[in-house]
Amino acid sequence: MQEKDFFIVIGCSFLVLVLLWILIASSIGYRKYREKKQAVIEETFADIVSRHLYGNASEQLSFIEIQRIFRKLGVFRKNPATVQYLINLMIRTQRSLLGRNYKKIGDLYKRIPPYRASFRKTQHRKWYVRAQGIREIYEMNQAGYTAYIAKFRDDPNVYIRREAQIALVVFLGWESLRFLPYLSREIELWQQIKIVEKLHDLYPEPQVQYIRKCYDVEHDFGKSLLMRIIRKFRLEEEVDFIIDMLSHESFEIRETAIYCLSSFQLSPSRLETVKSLFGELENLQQQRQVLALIERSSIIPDVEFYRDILLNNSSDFIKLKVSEVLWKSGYEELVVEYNRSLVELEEAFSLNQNFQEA
Amino acid sequence: MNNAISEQHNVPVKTALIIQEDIIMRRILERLVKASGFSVQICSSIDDLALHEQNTEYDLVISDILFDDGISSFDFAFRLGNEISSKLLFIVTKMGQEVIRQNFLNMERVDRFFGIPFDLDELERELIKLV
Repeated sequence: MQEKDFFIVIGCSFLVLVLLWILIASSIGYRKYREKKQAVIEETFADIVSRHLYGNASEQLSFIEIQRIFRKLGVFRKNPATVQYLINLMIRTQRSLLGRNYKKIGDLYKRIPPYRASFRKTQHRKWYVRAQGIREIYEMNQAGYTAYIAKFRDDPNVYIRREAQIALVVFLGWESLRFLPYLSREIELWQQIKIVEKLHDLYPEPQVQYIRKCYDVEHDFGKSLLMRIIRKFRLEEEVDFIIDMLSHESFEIRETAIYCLSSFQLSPSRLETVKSLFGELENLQQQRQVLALIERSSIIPDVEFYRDILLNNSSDFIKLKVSEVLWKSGYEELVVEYNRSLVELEEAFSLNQNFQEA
Repeated sequence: MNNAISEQHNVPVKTALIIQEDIIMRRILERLVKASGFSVQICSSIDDLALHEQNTEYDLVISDILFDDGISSFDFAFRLGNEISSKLLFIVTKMGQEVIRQNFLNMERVDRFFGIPFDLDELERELIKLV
């Protein structure tokens, strides 16, 4: 009896083992088949794209022919994995190109499958699929969906609205700034940088009229974004907007303004405005940064301005910085004179105290 | 057509070798360089080349930065210089960071550096100058 049980256990184990082997073999087989199929799709896609961009007249394929080729390769709606593989190839290619070919390839994508797959994703019930759909549409430069995607620009879901905002920048370029005053939700620093970079990559020619229309924007994130754009595109004529922000009540806005101003060489009149705003800065660190800014933009140090700080500023830290600037610029006697008056003042103060104690 | 014109005038056709791992970029470059009048050889790595192809002197090599056998980008550039002889070497790569660009351009061997994404028209202008 025991021996029979033993054989049953061995038999079952062997059966499980065989089933496992079959499973592994079929999995390896399927993976190889899929890789082979994907390689064929990739090769075909590479050929179609290269023909579209640089093929001569006889090598060009009609859009119907291209659709037929992809259909033969299994790229249709009921095969979502294959469709997604082709979309990824399309996005990868679009990301590699700039200039004339970027547009040319966008025209190709409009007419070949799976041009509706990404749109369907934007209607999915899961937020991350919707965000992915929007990203795919702008990565493939499908500007026909601009009006539709604009609806998502202020979506409650951060990932969806981020992708929609980038899509608007990709499709509309500088004109997309007209949406800025109507956004109610925060644009994080990372998103601001992404917007500025996208604008710079795709629309390097600045159109300042769209920036000027946004100067009255109420939100702090909008002001920060505008300052970053002015800095990135080195818009000298718009620097006054950044200088105005030095007196803004928000610490972060002032911080961004100082950071953006540090990329510009200030004109004498602008330098005077910055100096007049220096006293309004309450934060010591920001005062120090603005001092560095003034020092960098000044050809000849403004002795009166520095003397005024030495006499009236309450912070020793700032006075030390000013002394450093004066000392480095060859005005040592001013620093020595100030130091002497300080010592005399201290002596007078201690004499007065001793007299009172006595 | 360009090839035909060159043959008619007995001008030897210029030869180019394209080494790109990404098949899509490889095909696009192949057609672009062909359309500019070169005779083109393509491969995905140096190892794919037959011995006689390695011994050919090309007018132009357009190469990616590859990490064959785990070697660094600079070792690859040296390997390229040692194993393939060409009059001009252009780099077209996804590793287009400024530091890498500068380091490669500082090497005497590298004539132009294109970091992906880039405008193919820039490359086309260079090719027209050569032909």
